[in-house]
Amino acid sequence: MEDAVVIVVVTGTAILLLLASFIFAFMWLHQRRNLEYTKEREETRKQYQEEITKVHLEVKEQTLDNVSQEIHDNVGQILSLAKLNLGTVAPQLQPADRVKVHETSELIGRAIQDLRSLAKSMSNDYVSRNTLADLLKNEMDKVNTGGAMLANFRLIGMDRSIDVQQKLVLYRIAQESLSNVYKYSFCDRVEVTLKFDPLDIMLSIHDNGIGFNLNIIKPGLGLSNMKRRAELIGAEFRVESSEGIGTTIIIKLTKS
Amino acid sequence: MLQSAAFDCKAKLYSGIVCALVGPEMNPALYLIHLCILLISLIGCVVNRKDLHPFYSFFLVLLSTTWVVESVSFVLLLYTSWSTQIIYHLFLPVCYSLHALIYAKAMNNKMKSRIIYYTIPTFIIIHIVLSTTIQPVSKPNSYAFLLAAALLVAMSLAFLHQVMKEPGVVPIQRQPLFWTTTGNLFFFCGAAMLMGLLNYLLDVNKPLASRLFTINYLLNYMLYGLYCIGFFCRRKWKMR
Repeated sequence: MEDAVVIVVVTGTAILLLLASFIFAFMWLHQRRNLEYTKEREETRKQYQEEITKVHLEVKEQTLDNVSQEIHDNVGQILSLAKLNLGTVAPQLQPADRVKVHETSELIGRAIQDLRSLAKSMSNDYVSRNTLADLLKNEMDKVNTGGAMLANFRLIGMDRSIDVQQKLVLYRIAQESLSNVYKYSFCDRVEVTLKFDPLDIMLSIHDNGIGFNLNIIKPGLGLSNMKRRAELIGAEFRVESSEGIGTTIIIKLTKS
Repeated sequence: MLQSAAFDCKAKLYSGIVCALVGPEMNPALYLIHLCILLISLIGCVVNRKDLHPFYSFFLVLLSTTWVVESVSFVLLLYTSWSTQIIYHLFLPVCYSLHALIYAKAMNNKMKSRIIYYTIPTFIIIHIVLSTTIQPVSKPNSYAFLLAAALLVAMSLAFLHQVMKEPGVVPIQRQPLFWTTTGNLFFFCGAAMLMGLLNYLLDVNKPLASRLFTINYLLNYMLYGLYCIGFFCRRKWKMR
């Protein structure tokens, strides 16, 4: 009788212990597998997002390249022809009309120059042929030519060649930032700094405009795009801004 | 359901005596606890029917049939001297079919699902053959029970393997089928082993074998206790 009780108690305890161990072990294994699965899914999602951004950028660059080529080969040629025609007509006109034609010819000449400059900045070829410092310097010259604000470019360290894709992304971010500065900052000074360190490259665009509170104003599409582009080349993207002081955009690319 | 297997042992213990299946060896208190847990799991199934979709109807039929069969068996054993074997001969195919239907529906793999569906008619045919030849309705259907136990253990393992292989968003402890499968796995393994052990002890130490039958109640408590957990595990409890 006692033997039976002992056996029942021992067997019952053993069954319960076995059951509990089984349940806990299974839960633990399942949770671990779930975590791995979530991690894998997150990784795939990130890769997919990167791929989408890359394709999006490639399409955009291709479009810009096509537009640039079109401006150079088509619109530019038409305007040049128009200028040439005016030049041939001018000698046959009255002196008063001749002045007007001359002024028109000069305006067309300026338009041709601006269009060439625009076409250049859009072209991939142009970007790949020049160093990042040169590209940024040209952008700053364009801003200064506009006269709305004073643009200053600073190069710290030795300018060195970097990967074309990285250069293109950094240049496009700088272009987008300058466009934002022009549209929203209401500043009178903008400073672009390109710093080359042995291990990293830092690009910063600072303006002394109205700035904004980062806690209140959420980043718009422009900033998000810049951030995504920076992430695509493995760069760190940061925005610092204070109301009344200005805004600084910093992109730091560490050598892998 | 498992009473049938246990009755096999009891029948051997007191062979020749009609009241052997009842008698002083049946513990009404333990049997009543078993019936109560079974009833709670049945209520849990009905209350949480939305969380059990699409298995609700199978569980409902399975548990209500089991409860009726066990209650009838309890009354017969307690107040009459009739044999309850025929009830279990009729009940086992129903019980197996419902379990198999649940697993067939739960499987993501079509091949496995189809195999499980095929086992239902096969098992019923084998059961009919066994009930008409080796173990007639007057005897316990232990061979058929062992076959059902082996098949259900295999299905339980296949289901757990599937759960482990295909992780989802819902945590395992909030999946009713995990709890019911764990219950089935332990119950059928335990019951099959217990049946073997008791059959051996019958030849060695009959009184001990009859006492060890209590383990069967423990297995039943565990099974329907896990069913209860499974039916209530998705419920959102409101804290006052």
